[in-house]
Amino acid sequence: MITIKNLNISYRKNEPVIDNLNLLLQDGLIHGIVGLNGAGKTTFLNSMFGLKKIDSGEILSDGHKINKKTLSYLVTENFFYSNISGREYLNLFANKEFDLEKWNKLFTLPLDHIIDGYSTGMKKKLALLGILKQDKPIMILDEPFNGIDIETCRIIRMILLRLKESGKTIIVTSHIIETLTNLCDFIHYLEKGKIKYSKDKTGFADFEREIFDKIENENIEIVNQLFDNNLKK
Amino acid sequence: MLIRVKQAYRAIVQIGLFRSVFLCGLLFFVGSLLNSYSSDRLYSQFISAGFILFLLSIHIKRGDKMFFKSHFSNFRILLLIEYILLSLPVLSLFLIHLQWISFLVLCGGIVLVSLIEFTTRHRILNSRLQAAIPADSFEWKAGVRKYFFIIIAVWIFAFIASFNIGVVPLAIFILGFVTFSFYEECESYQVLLLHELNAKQFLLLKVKRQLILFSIMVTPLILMFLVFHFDKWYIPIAEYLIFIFLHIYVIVTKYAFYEPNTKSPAAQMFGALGALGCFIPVLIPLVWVLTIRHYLKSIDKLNFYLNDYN
Repeated sequence: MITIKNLNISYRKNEPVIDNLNLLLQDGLIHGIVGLNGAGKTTFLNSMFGLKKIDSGEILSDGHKINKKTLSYLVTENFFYSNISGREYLNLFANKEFDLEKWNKLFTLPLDHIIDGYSTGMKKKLALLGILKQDKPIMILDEPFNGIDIETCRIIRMILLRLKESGKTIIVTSHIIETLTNLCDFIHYLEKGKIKYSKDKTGFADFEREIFDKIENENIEIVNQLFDNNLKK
Repeated sequence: MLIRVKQAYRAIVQIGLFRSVFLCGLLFFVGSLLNSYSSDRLYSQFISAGFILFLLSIHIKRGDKMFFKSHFSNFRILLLIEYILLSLPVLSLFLIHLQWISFLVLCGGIVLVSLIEFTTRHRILNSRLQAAIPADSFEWKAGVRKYFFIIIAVWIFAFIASFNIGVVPLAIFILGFVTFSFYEECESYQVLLLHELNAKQFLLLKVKRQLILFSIMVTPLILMFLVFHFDKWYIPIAEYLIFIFLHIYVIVTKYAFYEPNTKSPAAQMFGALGALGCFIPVLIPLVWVLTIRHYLKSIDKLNFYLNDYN
């Protein structure tokens, strides 16, 4: 069980990005973190991985401080050292049981080409292969479906479900709600640095409706004004 | 122009006041050297050619050419203006010293460089040399791929022509500098974490790998030098030791200013200072002091990422 207690993170004084966040993440399940841009998703994930210092609070895994030894983290923007090939990148991670050729049948990456020439989607697939090769018990995936084609999205979904079956805990974010509702066991909605609510599968339909209604209600007036003005012109 | 001023301001803020003052001092020093040498006709021509090569390397490597092309119809004029502004101090020196040929050559070079349509292509080069480099020495794999033809050409030429007393020291000098440049880019933290070592162990591993690989590269050349010029044994040995020390310096400097996925301006500036140590021996003690300082700083910096492995 991952326990997050009274987590506070800020970049500037009195401007918390994560504001007294409390959350329980059950082991062996897929947890989706949803929030609008600027809600604090990436900051939250960075703090879990230890890339952002926390002001107060704690993040525990089975009662102990969470540790990089048990975590792997796929970031939104993937960066690779220039002038190395995909194969060289993956060979950096030591895992003899990982059959690269078999895994690459799913992603069909040109592993002997240098990464600088890869497309955004290819880079994402390569980064994901790196995460899979690390084979850590907890996987944090920030926007794993960004820039990926439909086929690969489906393949990633299949892989994540299998990883869950093998006991991994997966924390995933996405802007596309449907990808999460089709995949996750729980979805946690992050708003203004707090988890506003968590829903299990039975609540996903309500959750989707609530989110879409909220977004439309908040923006309908501006959209109407813009289009009314355009029509007058 | 305003964007460039803002970029320069941000770069100065990033490297800090002290280092900015130091950088100004360094630029002043280089400027005074250029001033004294540009009064000579032959040297001024070398300076002109060197500066054109400098502009060419910037032009080929810069990543904003596509931005220029897509946003400005007169992008070539903008490039030309930028290169003229960059060359203004050198052009002024040529005018002051009445070096008209060098002045005209540099002017012509600036125009030609701004007209060149060339970007570096990503080479798919998987030589046996790459395979021989240990999997975790990604800096070497990348660097050897980038400078493959220079390294091979220099090495083979030095090996064959080692009967000439100057060839091997010059080759070690070039290879030393080429490998020095392998450490200008900071890797992502995923790569930093993959060894699962603490900060001290990590730095030790990096230094060890560099020393082994550099030694494998230059030892055959040193041996060839010793075969032909045994009485001058101390020349390549001293050079080798200086580069070993510089490589340690550049590694600790890189991690002292480590920011994932970037090329730290501060690390690059200190790297340049280390490189200058080869030409200006007075700087070598300063480099020693900085090595100790940067080692302590790099431990501190890396601890943020590697503390879980303590």
